[in-house]
Amino acid sequence: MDALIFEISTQGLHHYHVIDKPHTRIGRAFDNDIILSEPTVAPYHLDIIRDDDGKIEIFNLADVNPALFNGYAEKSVTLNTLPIDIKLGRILARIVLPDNRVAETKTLAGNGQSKHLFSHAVWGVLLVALCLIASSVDFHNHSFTTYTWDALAKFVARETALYLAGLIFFLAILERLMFNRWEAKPLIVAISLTYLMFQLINPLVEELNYSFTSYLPELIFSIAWYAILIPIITSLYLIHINHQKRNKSIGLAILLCSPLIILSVIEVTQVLGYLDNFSALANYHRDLSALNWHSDETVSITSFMKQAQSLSPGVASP
Amino acid sequence: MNQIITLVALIIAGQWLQTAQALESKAIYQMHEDNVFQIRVLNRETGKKSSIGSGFIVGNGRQVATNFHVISQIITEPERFYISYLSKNGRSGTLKLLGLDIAHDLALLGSELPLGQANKTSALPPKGSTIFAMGNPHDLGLTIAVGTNGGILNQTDDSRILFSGNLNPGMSGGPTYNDNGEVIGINVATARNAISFIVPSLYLNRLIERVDKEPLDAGQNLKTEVTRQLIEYENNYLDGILDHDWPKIQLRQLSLPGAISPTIRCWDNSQKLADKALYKRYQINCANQNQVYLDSRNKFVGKLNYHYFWLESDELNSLQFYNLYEQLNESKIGGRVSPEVLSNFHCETWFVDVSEQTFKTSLCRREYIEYEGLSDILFTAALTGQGNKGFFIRLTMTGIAYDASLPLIQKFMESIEWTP
Repeated sequence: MDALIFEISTQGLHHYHVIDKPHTRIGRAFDNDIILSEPTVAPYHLDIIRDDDGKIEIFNLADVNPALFNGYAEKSVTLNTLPIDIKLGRILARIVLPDNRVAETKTLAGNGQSKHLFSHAVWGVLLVALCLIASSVDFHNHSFTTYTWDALAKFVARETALYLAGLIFFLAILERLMFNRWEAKPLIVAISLTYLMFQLINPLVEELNYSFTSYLPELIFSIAWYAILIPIITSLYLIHINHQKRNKSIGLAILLCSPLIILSVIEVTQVLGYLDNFSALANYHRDLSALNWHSDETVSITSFMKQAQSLSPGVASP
Repeated sequence: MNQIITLVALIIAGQWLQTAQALESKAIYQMHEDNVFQIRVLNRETGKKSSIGSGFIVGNGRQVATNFHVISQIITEPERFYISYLSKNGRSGTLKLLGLDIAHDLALLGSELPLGQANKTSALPPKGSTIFAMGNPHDLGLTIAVGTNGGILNQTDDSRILFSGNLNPGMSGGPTYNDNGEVIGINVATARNAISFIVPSLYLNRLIERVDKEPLDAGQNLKTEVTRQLIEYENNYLDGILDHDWPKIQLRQLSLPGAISPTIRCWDNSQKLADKALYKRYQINCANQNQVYLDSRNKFVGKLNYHYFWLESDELNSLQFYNLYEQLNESKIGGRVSPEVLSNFHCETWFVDVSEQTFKTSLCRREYIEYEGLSDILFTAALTGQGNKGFFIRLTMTGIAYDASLPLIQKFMESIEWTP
């Protein structure tokens, strides 16, 4: 008589019981073969009967919350194929054969033994160094006077190093609380990559503003970055680094990023509201660009004046 | 010894001159104390003063001249306020508005009853002549201020005389006399420290003539009339500017319009930069002086201001330079304005070829809510594609008909020349 495996799904590690006896009873009572301490499970919920010919029958014993077999309520089922999903109250379980194939082993991120981007400390150090360099370049590009190394170091420490360190620390604690794991190296890599991505995309967005004489690229980016890209990055991290299930990862990512999503929506609403509200300032396109690529053609003074004649009047605030 | 005698003689002569002047001002005061009034704008509900100024009898003896800004509240809120006069001896009565000259800040008021002896007007005496301004400063009673004629100021479009006496709030609308006791102007403004301004009586005579021919209708919308006069004045002013060739000023590689009207003065506004600055910037600001009072909420309109800004650097890289250039490329008309007074700006942007250079050009306008047809204009143009050289113009015009501003902007752009 081949053994069967009774798998109980839980939030953490699943529980497995070997069924190798002709009669196995499952329920909440202490005299069962497999005890499920779940209030929605009946004291005696399920009987699994096996004969010498290999026939397996499962009987529902519960009057309250009767067992569902592959989603159907039956008094009993005879198993012809495995696995079979069984629901006992709130408990999800299934019966599988011992030789049932399991998924491939996922690389443990951060173990330091792989050359994987998220695993090796060298990548983390390199990316953090790149972030600090990017921050220094940003400081340099916004400095219009000679500056000292001291000023540069203070800026990089204040604007980038402290910010990254704080974020890594916060997320590491969160990860520890949620998944009972410390995975600092992949966290450092992920946060550094995200920071670098922002440093790369942001100037491109500003360039697009100039190119299309519009603030739409900036507006779209400010929504997309916090409400779409950051949640996507977070869910990818949860799926591929924390090895969480996809749906759960997406849900968690949305939950974790919800303050950012809410803030970005509020910000965009405020910006749009600001355009409608009264302001003494003229809201014209101030952006300038060294590349100087623009989609609008250059017109003559005469053509400009002709178009200017039809400039709509300003609208009074409601 | 001779020096001591000369000094004593000078002191005696000075005292004699002072005595002579005091006699003159005393005589003029006595001559006119009964025909110079306090003009009061009173609240219909409370009967109390909301604003005060001065005025004097002119024309047919039933007319009183004052400043427009003294009585402007009855234009904006006629249902709340009315105008009254108060003489030195306590006589008072109601006045109605007969005519306005917005451009020169004058108003002509009328009484049902004869008020007294009308003041005679006269031409402006020679520069340096002693003149006498009468009025009611700070509601303290009728007084006279002595000063000299500094001549007509062309930077005010000939609408102001410079007066070396002290005018104070409450004296606006009062008469300024020559030493014969004839009105040569109307007190209008002060810049403190014995720098005051008088409206030449020439404009008062024109207003009286106009009112005699075409007095304001009782039911006439006064804001429409204010707008009409303002637009007419501004259009004439701009036509005058457009009618002649403009002087040029050179700013680095650009030849630019200089002071395009006698009313405009240009100043170098370049700020001193820190020694460690890696760039150079040069600024010139030109502005007119002939602004026009509109009302207590909008204050002055008719501003024509243009600002040139040149930026260059050999030491900044392109990204640095354009970050700086973009940061400096901002324009504010400013002022404390409210949505009840002005609309929001509406702006559009073009890339325009000016002297074979591409300028990123924005044109904005906003409207005066209560004065239909009046707009504020903001025009900016920033040079692009010249590596580490940047330049922008910011031109603002306030309280003007939008269409009237366009020829000026066009000529402005056509006058810019780039020297490679």
